[in-house]
Amino acid sequence: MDTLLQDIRHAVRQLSQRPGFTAVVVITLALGIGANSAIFTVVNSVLLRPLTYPDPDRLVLVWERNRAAPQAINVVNPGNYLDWRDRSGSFTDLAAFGWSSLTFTGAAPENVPGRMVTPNFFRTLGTAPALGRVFTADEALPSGPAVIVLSDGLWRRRFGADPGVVGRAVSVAGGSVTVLGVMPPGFQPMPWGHEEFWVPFRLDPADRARHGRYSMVVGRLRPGVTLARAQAEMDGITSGLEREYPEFDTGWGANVVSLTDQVVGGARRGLLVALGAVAIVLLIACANVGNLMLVRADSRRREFAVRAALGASRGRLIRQWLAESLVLAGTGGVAGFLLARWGVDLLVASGQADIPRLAEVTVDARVVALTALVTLVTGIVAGLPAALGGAAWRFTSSLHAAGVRTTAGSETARFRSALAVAQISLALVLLAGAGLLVRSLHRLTAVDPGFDPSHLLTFSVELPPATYPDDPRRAAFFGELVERIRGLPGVSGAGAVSFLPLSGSGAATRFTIVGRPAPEPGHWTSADIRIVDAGYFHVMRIPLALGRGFASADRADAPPVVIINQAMARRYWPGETPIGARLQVNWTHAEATPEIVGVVGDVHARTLDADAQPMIYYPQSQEPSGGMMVVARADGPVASLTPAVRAAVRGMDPNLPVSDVATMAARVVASTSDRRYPMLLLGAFATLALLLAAVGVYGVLAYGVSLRLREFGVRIALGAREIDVVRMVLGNGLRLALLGVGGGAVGALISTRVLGRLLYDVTPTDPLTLLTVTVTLVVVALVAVAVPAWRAARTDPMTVLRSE
Amino acid sequence: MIRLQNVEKSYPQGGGQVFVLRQISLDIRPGEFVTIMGPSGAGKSTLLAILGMLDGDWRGEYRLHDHAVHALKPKDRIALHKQYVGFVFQQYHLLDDLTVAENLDMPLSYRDIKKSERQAVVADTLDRFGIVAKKDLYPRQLSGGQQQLVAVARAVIHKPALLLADEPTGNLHSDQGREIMELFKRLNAGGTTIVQVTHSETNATYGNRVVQLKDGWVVK
Repeated sequence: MDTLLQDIRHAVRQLSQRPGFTAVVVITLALGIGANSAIFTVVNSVLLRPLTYPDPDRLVLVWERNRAAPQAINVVNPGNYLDWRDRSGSFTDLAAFGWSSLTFTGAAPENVPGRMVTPNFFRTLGTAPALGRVFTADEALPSGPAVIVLSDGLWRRRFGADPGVVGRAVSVAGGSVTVLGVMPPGFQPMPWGHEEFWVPFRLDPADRARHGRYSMVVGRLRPGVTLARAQAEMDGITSGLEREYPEFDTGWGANVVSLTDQVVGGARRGLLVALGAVAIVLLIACANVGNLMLVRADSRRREFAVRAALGASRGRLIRQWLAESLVLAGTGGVAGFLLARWGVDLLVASGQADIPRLAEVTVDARVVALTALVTLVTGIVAGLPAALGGAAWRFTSSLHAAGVRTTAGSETARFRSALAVAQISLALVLLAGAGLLVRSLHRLTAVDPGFDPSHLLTFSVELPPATYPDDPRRAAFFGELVERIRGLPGVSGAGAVSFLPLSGSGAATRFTIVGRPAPEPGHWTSADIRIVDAGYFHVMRIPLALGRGFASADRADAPPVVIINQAMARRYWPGETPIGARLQVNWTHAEATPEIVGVVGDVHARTLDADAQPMIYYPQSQEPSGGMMVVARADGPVASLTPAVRAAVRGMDPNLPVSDVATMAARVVASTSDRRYPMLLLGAFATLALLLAAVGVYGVLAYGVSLRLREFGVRIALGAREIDVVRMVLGNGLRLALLGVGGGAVGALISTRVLGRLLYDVTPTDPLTLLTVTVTLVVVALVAVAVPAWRAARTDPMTVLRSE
Repeated sequence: MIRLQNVEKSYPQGGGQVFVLRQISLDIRPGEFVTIMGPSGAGKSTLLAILGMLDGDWRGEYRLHDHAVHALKPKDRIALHKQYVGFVFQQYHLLDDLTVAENLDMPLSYRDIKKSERQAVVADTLDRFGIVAKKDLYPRQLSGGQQQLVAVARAVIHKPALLLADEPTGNLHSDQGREIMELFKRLNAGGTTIVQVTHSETNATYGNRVVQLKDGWVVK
């Protein structure tokens, strides 16, 4: 042990006497280890750490599934939920929940998102309130009182963390609601959305009528019950419900999904790709450091030969060299760990919309342990080539300093070149991945969304049912609001819609075409439903393809009309006009048969990479909605409209808040964030890898030139021109670069397949991308070689030969 | 102590062999002070490296204290070297990043000696060689003679039975060289067998036998 400490002390002393070398190595390792530590911190918190519930692996979500539809999950009909709850034995609890929102009135009215939940929701998740209690089964009946459970965030923000609020009635639009309890900090049960309160999901256990699917279901598996067994039981239950409710449930099954998978599944691939990328960056950093240490070992041949002559065994020499390598790695590891803290803050801040559980990201013992392990392995990997090479050095029979020969001299030169080639190969793999993601995102953002998102401001207004209890009042409000917005200075158009395109929200239902045979149960035709005002298509610049738009004549008492999109027209009226056809839609006025009066262009309602689906537009004058997204097109800067639109809403109702204000352009960008985030990460790491590889190539070539200065001097003395020497050095560099890109191309062709669904309209082996990154890498490598080549060409033969 | 029989060393060149040493047979008794002399390229330093087991690429027989070195594996030769041999180089070859004391400690640390014991031996050696005041200095802070003195101290600190010296005064001026040779004489008087390579006739007089080499042969 004391000799080990001695080796470490000597290593520290030697390194402190060479600050330049030490700084370069420590910085290189800090970047590689830090990147790994940062990404692993996120992976650990998001993917590896269990959800913060008791026995989280027992928690599942149960979805309905339409066997004819492409998506695997669908929201649930409450009647089906009640039957599942009563008939299944696989769950200790099965709770339903859905969306809600509430406008808190007072000095600062605020529309707050929340959830309606069945009383056993909190018990299912195994979380008790921090203050007060949750609602009982009686309080959740349709006739129950208006009660609420607050989130910790809402309690602190709106009620000053006053414990006295529990049991008190608080003022909301249209009345008041009694606070029963406050949930603990960080209680955000579900991965999507952000709720700040919970109110009862008022279900009458006796009412099993089937009207619409709009709720979600979470369950806790009974001890000993597996996911597969629960799924099998649900398959049996849903088969029974198909027979009991053939009109509604034919073709519908259920999907039981682990809650953890649901929460993190979408982010898993992107995070694992990032983890692979930083591992490659670290390998490149190790190769860089390995080369630096080989060069340093070269300059210490004499020392190692003397130590061997004094009795040092091969193992002892290796240990001494590794001690130095581990000191460097340890310092780099500490620096990298500190760098990672900053990196994690940046990752968390930039990925909030894309990566679930980011608020839970913390450094724990596992991250520290992994960082320490990575540091240790890095120290060994980076130092071993030099250690093995140095241990091979022995005195020859000449026994003087100039005669210290190495048996491994040419081998280390080849090894250094091999490391440089490996760095280039690895850098190409990362660049290829980043290049594919960039091209993919570029293709995606070039997709025409079907509307013009530029200069559009959007915001949400939710009308409290108590204050706007009926259709005429809702229709009148939004009609007047849009007029007021349209009249504002700087506004060239305004409209309203129930759900914006690319917002991730929407509504759909089934329909039939009057005069055509109704589809068989289970083979229903369905379409997305949107409520719009008359100005919506114009302000969004959605083209009218056939017929007319909505007009002021389409009043509540006028014959019902709808507009459909081209996708619906193509599918159900191929080669003929749908104008004049009538539909029967399972919507609020199911008995009505609205006439199709127009066909508009397709809009990407869900995502840019999903094809447009059939869509039915209702005029809001005939089918008013209590909540609408208002859209205003600005003549100038969009942000300047915000105060004016808030004032317009306040002018109509001072208790109505404006929420979810954003430009349409920002919403379009946000819709691609699931691809943008991995692209940014991979791009950053690929750039770092490219830089490290360039430094590596420069280092190898520069050192090689320094060893050959005598040769260049002789060649120049014998008549070689500068260009001949440059060509020699560049040729060597080009050879390394071509070997590197050759290996890297093979690696890229294999590894880019993991990108899979992250790519849009680009194959993993896209030749243009591979060619671009290959050429880029070769050019960068040649630029790195340029300085040593210039130095070699400037060799003064007399200076070099005289010094011999 | 040492018996060489038909030791040869050569390397291939142009389809043939170039001999560095040819049919070297030599006996060295314990306590002898042998000088190897000869012109440049005679093979003197090569012979010294073979005697010190720093060069393993040779043919013939070499016995050191009844150990058949020629039959030993490299690992065993290293162990034998550690047990019996100390080496003094012409260029001193002190390690520049270690102090005088640390340079002396190095051979002991390679021989699995406990730290407290090593510290005692180093202190004793510093005292014996009169360099206690220099123990915390680095080689660059010493004169050539002082460096060679430290190098000799390092070579004998583990009390080897055999001390090999390759041109030990080659880089020193005459006064310093004389001091080093006097030191060798004292060590030899104390029982250490010494084999030195030198061009200096004066240095050769300190020994009790001269072996002449020419073109790789022992010249009778």
